[in-house]
Amino acid sequence: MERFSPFNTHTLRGVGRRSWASGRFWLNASLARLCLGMAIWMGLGMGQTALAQGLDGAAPTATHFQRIIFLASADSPLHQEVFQGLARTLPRDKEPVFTAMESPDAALWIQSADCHNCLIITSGTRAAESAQSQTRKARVLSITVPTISYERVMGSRDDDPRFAAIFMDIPLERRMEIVRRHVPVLHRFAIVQSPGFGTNLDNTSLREKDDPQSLLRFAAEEDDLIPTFIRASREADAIITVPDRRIYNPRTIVSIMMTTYRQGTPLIGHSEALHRAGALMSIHSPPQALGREAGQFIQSLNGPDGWVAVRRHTQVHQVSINHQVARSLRITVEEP
Amino acid sequence: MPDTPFETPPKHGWTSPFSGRHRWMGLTGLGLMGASLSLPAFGEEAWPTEQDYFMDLPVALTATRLQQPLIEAPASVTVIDRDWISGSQARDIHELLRMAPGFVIGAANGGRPIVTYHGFSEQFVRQLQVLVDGRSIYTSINGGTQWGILDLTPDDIERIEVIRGPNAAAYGSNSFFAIINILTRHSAETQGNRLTTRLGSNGVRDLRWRHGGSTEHSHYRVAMQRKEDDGFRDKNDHRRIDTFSARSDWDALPGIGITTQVGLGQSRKGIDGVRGAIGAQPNREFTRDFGHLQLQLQDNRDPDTTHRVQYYFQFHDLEDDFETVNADGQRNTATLESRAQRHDLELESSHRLSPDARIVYGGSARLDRSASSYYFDDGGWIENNFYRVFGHWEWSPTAQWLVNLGGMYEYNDITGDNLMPRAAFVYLPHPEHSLRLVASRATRTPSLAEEELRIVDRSRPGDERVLAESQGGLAPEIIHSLELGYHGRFADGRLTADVKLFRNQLRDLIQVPYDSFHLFETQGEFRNIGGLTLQGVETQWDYRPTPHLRLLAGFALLTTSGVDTDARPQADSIPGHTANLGVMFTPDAPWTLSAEYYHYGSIDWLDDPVQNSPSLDAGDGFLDLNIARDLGPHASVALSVKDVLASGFDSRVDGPSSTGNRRSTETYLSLSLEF
Repeated sequence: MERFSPFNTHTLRGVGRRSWASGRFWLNASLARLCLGMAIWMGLGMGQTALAQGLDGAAPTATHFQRIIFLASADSPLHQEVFQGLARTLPRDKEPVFTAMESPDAALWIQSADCHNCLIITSGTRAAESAQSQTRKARVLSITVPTISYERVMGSRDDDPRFAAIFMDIPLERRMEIVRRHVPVLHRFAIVQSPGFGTNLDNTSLREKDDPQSLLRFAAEEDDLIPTFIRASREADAIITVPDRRIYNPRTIVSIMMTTYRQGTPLIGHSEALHRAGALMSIHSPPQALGREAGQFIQSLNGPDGWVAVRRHTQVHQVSINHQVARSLRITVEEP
Repeated sequence: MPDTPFETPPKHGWTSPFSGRHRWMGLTGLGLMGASLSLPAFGEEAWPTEQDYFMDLPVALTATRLQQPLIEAPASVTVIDRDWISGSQARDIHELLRMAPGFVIGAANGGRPIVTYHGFSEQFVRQLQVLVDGRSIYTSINGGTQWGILDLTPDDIERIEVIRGPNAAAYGSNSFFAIINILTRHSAETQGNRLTTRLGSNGVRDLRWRHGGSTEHSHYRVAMQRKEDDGFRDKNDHRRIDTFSARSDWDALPGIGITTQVGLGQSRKGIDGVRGAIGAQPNREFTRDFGHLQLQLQDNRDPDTTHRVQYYFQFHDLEDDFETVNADGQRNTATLESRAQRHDLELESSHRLSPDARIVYGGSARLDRSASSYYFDDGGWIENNFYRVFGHWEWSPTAQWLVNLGGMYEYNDITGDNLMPRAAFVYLPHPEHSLRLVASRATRTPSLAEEELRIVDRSRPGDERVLAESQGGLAPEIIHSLELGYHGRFADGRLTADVKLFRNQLRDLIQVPYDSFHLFETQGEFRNIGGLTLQGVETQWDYRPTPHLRLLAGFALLTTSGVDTDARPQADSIPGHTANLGVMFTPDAPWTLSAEYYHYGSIDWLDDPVQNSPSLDAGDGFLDLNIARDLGPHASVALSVKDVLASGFDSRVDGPSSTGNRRSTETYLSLSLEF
């Protein structure tokens, strides 16, 4: 992935992923830091003017945001893919500038884009947190962020109209509905989660909230993870996973998969990796699709005047079916 | 033939797994494992982030780990699953195979279990293919499997799939009567420390320590064990096995895993002497060194397409010096030294072509080499190269039909070209019931000893005698098999039943001159001669009437026809029936009770050292009882009583020059601690 300094208005379209360690990018980065130092020496205001001039070199067309910054939690393949999806949706001359939290000039970028007619698109929880705390004027659209994390990040500013979000998670009810459409014989689902995961409610309150005919919740600690999955497997038709890394992580997933497989109970995953690992199916949103969805949302706004502080779940999802697992468990998966 | 026909006190003590000519193997294996362990630890976050949706995870249910539903299987398959394995309290893996119908578990001696299917009963059962995670442990010198020196314990096993019937089309030559496919547990499932000890009568003293750990992208386990017992009573039959094993599962890239397995071991085994004026041998002890290195790369990025590359090396060395007496009463020192090695490289791909079709194809190259001053007289290396290509196509034209067509072409230096095809048709008139028709051809390649053997008696200088010699040019044994089977599920899957009728036509059977080995004749040779037809009915049942009770049962009825005179020994080595019954009962959470009973009909053992000995059956049968109790989440204790109905002999009777395997009831106590 090519890095960009505040003085480089190139975007990532058509640029392959590159290692930061490669010589060319090291040189670019060095030059960028040198320029950044000069800008600081000349005065921040002057630097900001230069930035604005650089960014405003092309007049807004399809959108009227003066400046669009894409702030990623990390310069990782995940956020790069999200960015590529976004960039391909927006007009070529208005592609946002990519920067990542760990970039030394990220703060400067945020500062430069903190204007009334500017848009900061954050990708990831840390980026959303950073934009929430470091901006005062810019519109902020957060994507690639789970609902619960976003709500925690926003805290008391939850109703601030500057902030919009498209959550990456697909609501549980929607996931169950999709599963039932593909595998009508699955009626009763179980969720295994660590105590207190994803909610401020305790497990008793959660259970009272759920319909026990369709959803059972099990709390598992590290010590009783496998026995809990055995219990859940026996009581439910399928186990639906949640992004609880205390439960589902590289250390535990093999044992979980093998345990539920021995019980003949399928797992319904929330990620592509779970599908590959052995879940019967996964319902997930690919990174590029999340980026495209954000781009379409921005296109629909017609600039800052049409800004809507939307807070909704992603409307794109992919259903990945592991046919080998389906066959081994003798489960017929329909293609509705 | 005996693998160590003469005796002497051991001259080799325990050597480090990392010393000697195979130390590179242990170091390479550990090096690869070490590379996979040097990764950063997994971090913790207070609430979910985007990383939880895009976190890389190891592939747990790979194509090899997924089990084909038995109702769709184009073969008769017995699955001994993890539940049964953990509840059975089996000390050795071969004990678990008693629950597969058609199998006879016997013993040449205390350290050499015999596992046969449909007869051909002898200590080197060459008609069974045995795989551990895709690694064939079929030995190259004598054929057969050295069940007594496996570096595995039941605790390592995920499940055992026993394919009852020839399937050389998928597994290559020697997959003649059946295939025993042992799948070990993923190292992620054996985390933490586990200490297991077992003490009991007849010198049972076992100790095993296992440690499992993990990093962000890998899991590993290492295990060391010592296993000791005195074997059969009234014999010099003790054994002691020391093994080290390790496994690493490294997720090198998303969906791409590298599994490394290393095993090293040494066994010290007592051999009962041979009495008599000629060929007398003293009681003695000999040692074996054995080990393997297995590397497997699996590409599971797309669950519909899997690629696998596997390489393994294994060795088995035996060295034995001993003293014997010749016909003139002179004492001579004889040397038995044998070394066997195997290198094997295999590539396999499977693709889901459409919702209704799947193909598997691949190829492999193998080098089997062996050297033995005893078996091959001159002691030079003898080699056999194998080259294989295989392909299988599975097609479901309708929901009721499943067609399996496939085959393997194999070239090897001994028998040249071999084609092993198989066709299977499965009909499912109902989702819970299926009928199958399977036709196949399989071959058994002669072992290196059968092809190249030359044993010379040099006890009288100037008067050397050839005791046994192969003329070479042996053809493979051939089986044409036809099977009609039924598989059904009842009571919501709590009861499964499988029945098969089969007819196996065998020809070009290789006759082994056992009498020469036992000194009843002065010369003998290996010959391709004789054939017979083996037919019968076989059934197995698995019933779970309640969540606390499980019953396993199996029965086989076997008959022969069209038996050539030369094949009479093989026909007489087939039992008329086998029967097995297993019960597992968990009345209350901490308790597990289990019992296993099995019985087989009369057998004339092909390599019986006692001339004209009567046929031997299982008497009242073999019955094992176990009771286990969990002492909390991290400890358990079990009491096992083995062979409760002991009487008579197991596989070998007393003779004028040798002592039989007298059965006895033995008891041991097992304790396991996890920490």
